[in-house]
Amino acid sequence: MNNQEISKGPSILDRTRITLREATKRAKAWRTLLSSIPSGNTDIAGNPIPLIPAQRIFRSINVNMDDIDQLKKDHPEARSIRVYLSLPDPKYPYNICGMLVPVDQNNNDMLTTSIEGDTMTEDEILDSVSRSTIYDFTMPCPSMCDPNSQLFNVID
Amino acid sequence: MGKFASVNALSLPLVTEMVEAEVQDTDLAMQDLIIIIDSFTPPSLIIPPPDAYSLAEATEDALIAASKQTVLIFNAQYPHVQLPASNLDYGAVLDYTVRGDIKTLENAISNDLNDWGIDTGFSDEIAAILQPKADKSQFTPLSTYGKINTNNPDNSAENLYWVASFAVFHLSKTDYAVIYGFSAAIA
Repeated sequence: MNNQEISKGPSILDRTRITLREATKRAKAWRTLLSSIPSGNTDIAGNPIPLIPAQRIFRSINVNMDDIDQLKKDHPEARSIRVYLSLPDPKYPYNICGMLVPVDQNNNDMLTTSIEGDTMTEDEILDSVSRSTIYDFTMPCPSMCDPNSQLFNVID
Repeated sequence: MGKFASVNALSLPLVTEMVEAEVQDTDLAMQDLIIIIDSFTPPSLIIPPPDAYSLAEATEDALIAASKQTVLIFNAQYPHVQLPASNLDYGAVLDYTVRGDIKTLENAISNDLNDWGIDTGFSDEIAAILQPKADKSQFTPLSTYGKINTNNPDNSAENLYWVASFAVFHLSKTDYAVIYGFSAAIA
């Protein structure tokens, strides 16, 4: 198959598109799963209290297009980006944050940059912001949400 | 929408006092306020509430958290726009009712824009976006943003950028209020 034939076929976006009905079903299943995780505590009436309050169910990660453009500019060799989910503080299990990492052509995370003549030790690199290529510019929902979206709705 | 109590127009202690006076179910309100504070505070800065945490303290912290969240989101969303320090309003909406009179929201936005030297004509458009979002938020603390071209004949690229953070919370099982933050700037 040559390039011309490939361009005639459906694009990757066309092939990976899913319907709103399917997306709504998936989003609801996710919210239901998270809301069913027990905290181990019960309320006054003896009902189990969920680990994650309904208002704090993690739904999505919002990424600014300008930040994506900047990332592409700073890492032209990257083939993709990988979003790791993280918990800045385990005491708050619902404060989930994304950590964005460029990924090279061999599917390797690009976690740090090397600088010629640099004498930093591996341990020093672990604590160096300037050497890191891990970004925390994503905005989780909540609180950056669209409550009008069918994908947002709180557990019914 | 409800009765606006702006910290800019009144003061933080006064707005706190007004909210406190409306609360009928302290436990319910405290639960919601603590969620608001957590939601509007960067994860690295969250600290557990102290053992003896009063309703007044929680209300004040929630108001401050909403104001800080608004500025944080504005700067993250519009890094190219200089947000003047004065272009921030925060406070509470008392007697909040879902699908309530949108005029009260329009007036509140209009007052803010006027204070910041921005054409108040945009307030209707912003209110029309904000009210349905607040109505559908179901107690989830949220931030949202928008951009409106100012139709400036001398600068067709000029826009009004705005950010709002809001959270509906319980005053009682059947009565609600909103904590909000709002910022806007022209660039």
